[in-house]
Amino acid sequence: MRAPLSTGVGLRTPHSAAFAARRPKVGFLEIHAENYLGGGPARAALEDLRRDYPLSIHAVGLSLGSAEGVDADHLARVSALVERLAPALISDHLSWSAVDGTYFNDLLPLPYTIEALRIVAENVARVQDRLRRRMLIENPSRYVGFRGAAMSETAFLAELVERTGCGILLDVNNLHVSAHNLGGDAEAAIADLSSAAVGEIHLAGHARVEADGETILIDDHGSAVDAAVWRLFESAAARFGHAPALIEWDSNLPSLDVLVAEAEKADRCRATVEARRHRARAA
Amino acid sequence: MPALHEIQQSFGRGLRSGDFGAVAASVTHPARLSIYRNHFLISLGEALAATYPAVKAAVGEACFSGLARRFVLANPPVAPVLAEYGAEFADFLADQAEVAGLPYLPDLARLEWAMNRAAVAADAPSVGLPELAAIAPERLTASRLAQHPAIALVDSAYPVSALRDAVLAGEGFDLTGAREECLLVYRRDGAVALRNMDAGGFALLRGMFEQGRPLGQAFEAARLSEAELASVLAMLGEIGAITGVEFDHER
Repeated sequence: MRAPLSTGVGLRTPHSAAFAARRPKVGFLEIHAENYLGGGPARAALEDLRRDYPLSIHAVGLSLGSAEGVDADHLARVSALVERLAPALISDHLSWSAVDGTYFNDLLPLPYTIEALRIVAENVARVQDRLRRRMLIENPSRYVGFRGAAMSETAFLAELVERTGCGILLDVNNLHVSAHNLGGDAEAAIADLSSAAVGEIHLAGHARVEADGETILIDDHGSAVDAAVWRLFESAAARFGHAPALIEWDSNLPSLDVLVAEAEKADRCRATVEARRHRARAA
Repeated sequence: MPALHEIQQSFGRGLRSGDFGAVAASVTHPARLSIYRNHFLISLGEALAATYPAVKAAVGEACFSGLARRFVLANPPVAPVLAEYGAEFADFLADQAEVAGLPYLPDLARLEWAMNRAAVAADAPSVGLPELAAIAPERLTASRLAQHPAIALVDSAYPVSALRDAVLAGEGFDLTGAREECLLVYRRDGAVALRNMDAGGFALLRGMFEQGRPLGQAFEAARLSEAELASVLAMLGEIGAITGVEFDHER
């Protein structure tokens, strides 16, 4: 099996200049498609960094779970960006963001029903047809579930992969957050996912809030990766050793050094898992 | 369970009104729907603050967050590109009694919007001064000059660019004797820049870029001298403001 890319980081504008000046060693850079649809200095800086780093384009606004379908204008703009940047990976989320002409700037939850599966599969197929590329679909953080859901998130994703040929972007922080908030077994989800389908792993920090006598985990990407999420990452790295990992950090941004150190920590974790696997095989 | 489209419509109404109606009965933890509503209002308020830092500095954090919340509810985004969100904020501010004591605020917002757009406008190759100079004068006056996507024109009865500098630096500003300002917003070497224009030169640019008039017509309406026209054209060529020269008969 080909060695995976070493761990990447999400590129955020405040780090752009430090990246350009120092070119720290990270496996790849991931950008949010919606932040680079124009021109100007941000785009120029990205075109420059692209010569030194593989790129992943992570969309947040295709709204793949919309019953109204994917917005044609937005898809055309994302498609032009993909064509221009020729990224190694393309992804968006198992969620929806827009209805009745309003975009809500969030990854809103879907009921995991047969109807929703048909709709998401149609939307993913349409995007893949337009991009002429396989895309990865990410499990979102959820704060509510739906009564009467027909299947688990894992089963929904597996069926989506089956119907569209897409891959899965496994966000282990989201898996942990949703399992805590809705009751669920994140380890079991990792064990259930098809190894071949997982094409990338996300890591990020979350916040804990106390509300109405309960602790809710909020996916704010505003801190270092939590110890419980690192433990899940070990399990994920053992099962999906081929999939590159990525650190996302969006609020309370740390220095670039701290961000890069977090990516190095993920690489060390993977190396440990890999060594353990070799020993087990040798024994 | 209701159809997905109905769930999404009801969810969307809930995000905007706080009343999630039928969705509340469909979800496992209805009280937590407020997490989604808070994120909708707060994240878009932050997007507005990123686009309008001087307006925020001028009114203060608490006032801005109240204005932003009302604006988001009245004008939610229609598309997923946050840098393109908030075009109507200046007009919205003009109608808010709360900030009526800051009469320059809508113009400050217009300037920030133009600068924000200039930063992310599409790249385009420009027509340089030598190329403009090579066109026979009578052909040039009959032509329409196409503007670079980053170009914008902002005028105000207040000195908005100096006001912007002052509020961003946390300094006070004395409006007594303050003069109007005509600004050309452009992008040069990857940075957004402003140039003060006199009223005649500004009227020429309005005619050319906003009204789409041929250069000769815009020139006559602006009542400039030939020398003033030449100096404005030289400046436009130098800053890369022109991306094309269109001749009517060649259309």
